[in-house]
Amino acid sequence: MRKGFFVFLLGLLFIIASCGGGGGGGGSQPQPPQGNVLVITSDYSTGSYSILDTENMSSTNNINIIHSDSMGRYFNGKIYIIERLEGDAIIVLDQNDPTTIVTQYSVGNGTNPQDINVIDQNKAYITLYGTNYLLIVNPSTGAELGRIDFSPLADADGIPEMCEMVRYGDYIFVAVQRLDRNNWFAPTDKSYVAVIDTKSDSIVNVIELTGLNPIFMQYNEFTQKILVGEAGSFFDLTDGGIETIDPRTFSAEGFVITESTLGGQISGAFYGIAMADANMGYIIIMDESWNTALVSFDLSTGNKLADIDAPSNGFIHNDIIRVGDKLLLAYREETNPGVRIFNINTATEITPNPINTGLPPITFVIY
Amino acid sequence: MKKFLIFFILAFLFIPSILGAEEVIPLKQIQVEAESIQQKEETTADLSSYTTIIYPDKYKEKARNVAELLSESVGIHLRRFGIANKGGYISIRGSSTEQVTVMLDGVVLNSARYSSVNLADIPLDQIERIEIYRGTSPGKFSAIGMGGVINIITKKAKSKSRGGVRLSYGSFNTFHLGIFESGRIGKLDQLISLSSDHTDGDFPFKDNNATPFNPDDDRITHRKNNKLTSGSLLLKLSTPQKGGKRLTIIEHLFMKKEGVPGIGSNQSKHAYLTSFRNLFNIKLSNDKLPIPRLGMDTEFYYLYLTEKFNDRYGEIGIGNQLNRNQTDTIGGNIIFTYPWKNYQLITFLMGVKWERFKAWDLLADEKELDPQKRVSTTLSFDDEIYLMNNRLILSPTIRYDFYHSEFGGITSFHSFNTESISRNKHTWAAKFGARYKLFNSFFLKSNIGRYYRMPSFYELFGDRGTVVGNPELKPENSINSDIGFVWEGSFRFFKRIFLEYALFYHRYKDLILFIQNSQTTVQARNISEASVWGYEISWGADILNFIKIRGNYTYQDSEDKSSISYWKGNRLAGRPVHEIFNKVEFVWPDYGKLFYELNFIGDYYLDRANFYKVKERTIHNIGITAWYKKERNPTLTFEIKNLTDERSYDFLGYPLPGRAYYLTFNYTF
Repeated sequence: MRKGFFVFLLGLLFIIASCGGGGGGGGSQPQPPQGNVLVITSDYSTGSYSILDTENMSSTNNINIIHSDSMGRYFNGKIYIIERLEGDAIIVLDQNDPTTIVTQYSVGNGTNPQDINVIDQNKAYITLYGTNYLLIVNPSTGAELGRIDFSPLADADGIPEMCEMVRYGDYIFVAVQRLDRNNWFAPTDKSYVAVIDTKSDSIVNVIELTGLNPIFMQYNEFTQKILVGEAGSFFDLTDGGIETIDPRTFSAEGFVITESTLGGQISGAFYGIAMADANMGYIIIMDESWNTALVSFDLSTGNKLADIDAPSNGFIHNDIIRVGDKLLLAYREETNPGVRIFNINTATEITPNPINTGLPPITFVIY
Repeated sequence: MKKFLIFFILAFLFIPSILGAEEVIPLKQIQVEAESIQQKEETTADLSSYTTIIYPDKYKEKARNVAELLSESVGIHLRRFGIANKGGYISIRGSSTEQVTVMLDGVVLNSARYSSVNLADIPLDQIERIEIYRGTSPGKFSAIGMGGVINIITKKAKSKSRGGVRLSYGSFNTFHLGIFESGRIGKLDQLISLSSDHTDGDFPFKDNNATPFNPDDDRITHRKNNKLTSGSLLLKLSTPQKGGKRLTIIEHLFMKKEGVPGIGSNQSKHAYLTSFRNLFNIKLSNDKLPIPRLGMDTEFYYLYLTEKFNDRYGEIGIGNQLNRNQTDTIGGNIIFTYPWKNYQLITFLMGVKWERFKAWDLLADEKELDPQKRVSTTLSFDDEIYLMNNRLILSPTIRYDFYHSEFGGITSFHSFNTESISRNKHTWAAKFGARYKLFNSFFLKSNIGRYYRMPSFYELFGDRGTVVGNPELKPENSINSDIGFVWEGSFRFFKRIFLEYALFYHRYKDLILFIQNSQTTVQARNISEASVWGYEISWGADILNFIKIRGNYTYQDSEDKSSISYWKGNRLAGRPVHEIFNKVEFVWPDYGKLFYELNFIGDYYLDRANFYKVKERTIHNIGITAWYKKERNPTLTFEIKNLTDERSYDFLGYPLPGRAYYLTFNYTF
C-alpha cells in the first residue's frame, strides 16, 4: 500500500464500503412538502453542502465543510447529515437556518454510519456498516440508548452490512446486504430486510429478498409499499431489479422490474429512484462500459419507458429525487457539474444548464 | 512540440561551429568535502542545472534521515506521515511525488507499479552524497523526472581502512544504530555497512474525534499502531583502479515492518505493512578502450521489491485485506563518454529494463493475479560544450524511450477480469542548458526542457477491482524552465559567502487523475493540467571559523489548470507558497558547537478543492554537540526538535509529533 495512492483511493473507499441507495426515509410519514433543497456535494476528497433555489435556478454554495462521503435525512425540523466512511459522525442542522451547525457527534470511530431514522426528538436508529449492531441514540445529543444485535443475520465475515431504513408505523425496515468483506464486498448467498419493532427494539421479522445487495429502499406513498433496489453484483448487469415489499404483511413480492429490462446496472447514490405516480418512475442505470444514464419505467408493465438522459462518459448521474412536480438530478460531469431539473411528469428538462453547486452534487435533502 | 525537437537537434549540430569553439575541457579534480561551487562542478552530472549536493557525513552528529535532510533543501517539500521514519515522499518545485525520480547507485527506485519512492527507507549512514537536480534531468542518467531527480550514491569501498558507528536514541523510543567498515580484503576494496532503526511512534496529538464542529469531545491521545522497525545491509566490493578498469559489486538489502495507524481519529490496532528490497548491482568502468579517450561505464542490476499488507480486520482499506505485491526489475546501462575536439564532452547512454509486477490476494479464492510487465529501452545523447575559454558551457540533451507494457488480464475480483492488454509507447525528452561565467565565481544559469512520466501499471491496467485500467493513457509531460545565478565569494570576516537564485516555471500537461467511473470503481485519465512558477534563494556564510549560516527560501505559486470546473484556478494540494529553512551554528573548534534551526512552512491546502487549509507553522530545533579536540571525533549531540511543541498535521490529515529529544553519539575510526 503506497500512501501516494491514497488520495483517490479514499474517495473510492467511501463508495465501495457503503451502501449506495436511498429511501423515502419516512415510511408512513412522507417528507414534508416545503420543497427546500439542501444539496450534498463532494469531489470524494472534500465535502460540502449547498442550498438550492429551484424557482430561481440558483444555489448558495459551499456553506460548510463536511465529510466527503455524506448523505442526509430530514426529520421533524432537523436535517441530519450522515458522515459515512472515515467520517463516523452525524451533523445536525436546523431547517430554519441550515447554514449553522447545531451539533455534531460521533457514532464510534470505524463504524461507518449509513442511515438515520428519527422516531422522535429522543430516539433514532442508525445503521452502521462496519458493525453487527443497530445503534439507538438520542438524535439531539448522540447519547447511546442501546443496540440491537444483528450478528445472526451476518454472512461468514460476521458483519451484516446494514444499509438504508424505511419507517412504517411502529416498524423500521432495515436493508441487510450481507456482502463478503474478504472478497471486495461481493454479494453472498442471501440478502434480507429486517423488521424492527420500535416499541420493543427487537427484530420481529426477516424478509428474504428475491435478489441480492439492496442498495436503496424507498417508501412509495402512492402504493403504500416499499421499493427495494437490489443491485446484485456490480459486475453483472442482469442479476438485479426493483422489488416491492408490503410493509403490512412483511412480505417480499418479487421483482417488479429487472436490470435486464431497464438495460443496465441499478445505480444511484442514495435515493436511487423517484416516482412520478404509482407506476411511472425514474432510475439511474449503468451500462457495461461504466456509463450512467437516467431512464424512466412503468411498474405496472415492468417495462422501461424511455432514455431521459443518454449514457455519458463515466459515472455522471449520481442521484435523483422528486420535489413537487420536479425531478432533481445530481449531475457530476467534470467540466460542468450541477443540479439538473426535469418536469417529473413530462421528463423535459427545465434547466438550460446544470445549476452550479460548487463541488459536484452527490445527493439531496428535502426539508 | 516538433519545433522543440528540431531546436535541440540543431543545437547539437551547429552551436559549436557557430561559436568557433576551441577550448579545453577542464580535468576533473580530486573530490573534496566542501559545499563550494567547485565541488558541485566536480560531482554534478549537469553543470547548467540547479543542483543541491548533500554530504550526509556532515550531519552525522544529528538524528536525521534522508527525507528530513532533503526537506531542508531549497525547492523541496516533504510530505509527512507523522514521525520522520514513516514517510519520506518529496515534491520538487511543486511536482507530485510521482514526478520525482529517485536513483540509488544509478538504479531507478520508482517502479512501474508505484511511482513514488519513500526516501525514509534509504539509510543515511550508507550514503556518501545526495544530488538533487531541481527541474532538470541529466542526460547521463538512465531515467528522467518531471520534477527533478534525486541521485543517491552510497559510500565507496576504499582500500584505506576506516569505520564508524552512529548511535541515536530519543523520544517515542526512537533508536538508530549504524556501523560501517571499509578496507582491503586481499586485492579488493570492500565496504560493509549495517543500519537499524526502530520507533514506537506513539506521540501524543489532539484528536477531535472526527467531529471538528464539536470541541467538547476533543482529547489528547497517543498515536497507536505506529511502530516501525527496519534493518539494512550494504556490501560493496571493488577492484582497485587498475589499467583504467574498475569493477564494483553492490549488494544492498533493506527490510521493514511498520504498523499502519490509519488517518486521524480512526486509528487501527492491527494493520501492518512489511517491505523488503534487494538491489544487486555490478558496475564496470573502463577508460582504456581501443579508441583513445573513450570511456565506458557498464552496469547490470537486479532490483527486487516486495510488500505485504495485512489488514485482516478491515481497519484501513476496502474490506479485509491480505495482499502481497512483488516487483522484479532487471536492467543494464552502457554509458560512453568521449571528449570530442577538446571542447565537447559527449555522453551516449543505452539502457534496457525489464519489470514484472505480481500480486497475490491471499484472502481470495483466486490468489495469484496475472503479472504486469514492461520492457523499456532508452537512448540518451548528452553534450557539454565548452566555449569562450570555458566561460560559457552549453549542455543539450536529447533522449528517446520505447516502452512495451503488457498485462494478462486476470484479477482476483470476481467477474472483473479483463482481456489481455499490450501497448507500445514511444516518447522523447530533451533539455537545453547554459551556464555563463560572468565574472569570478559568478555564474548565470538557465535551462529549458521537456520531460514526461510514463503511466504506472495501476493507471494503465488497474488493480484488483477498484481501479479500472486505461491502456490508452498518454504519458504526463511538462516543459520546465529556469534562469538565475550562483555567486560565491569572501569579504573581510566572511570567509565564504554563497548566494544562489533561480526563477522557475513548470507547465504540466496530460496529468493523470483518477475519476470515478462507476459506483465502485475509478479510472485514470489524462484530464488535468497545472503550472508552477516561483523562485528559490539559497544562502550561506562562514564568519571566521566560528559562525556558520546556511539557509534557503522557496516561493512557489501553483495553479490547477485542469478543465475540472471545481478545481480550476485552485492551488495544488500540498504545495506551500512559502518555505524557509535557516540554520546557524556557533562553533568552538576544540570543544563543540551550538546549533539552531528554523523551518517555516507557509499555509497550504490538503485537498484540490482548497477547503482544508493547514495553517503555517514554524519549527525550531536546537542542539549542542561536544567533540574531542580539533579532530571532532567522537561527537555527542543532544538536540530538541520542535522546541515550541508546535502541533500540526499533514497529508491526508496525518498528525505530526510535537517536541522530541534525541541523543546521538558518533565515532569514526
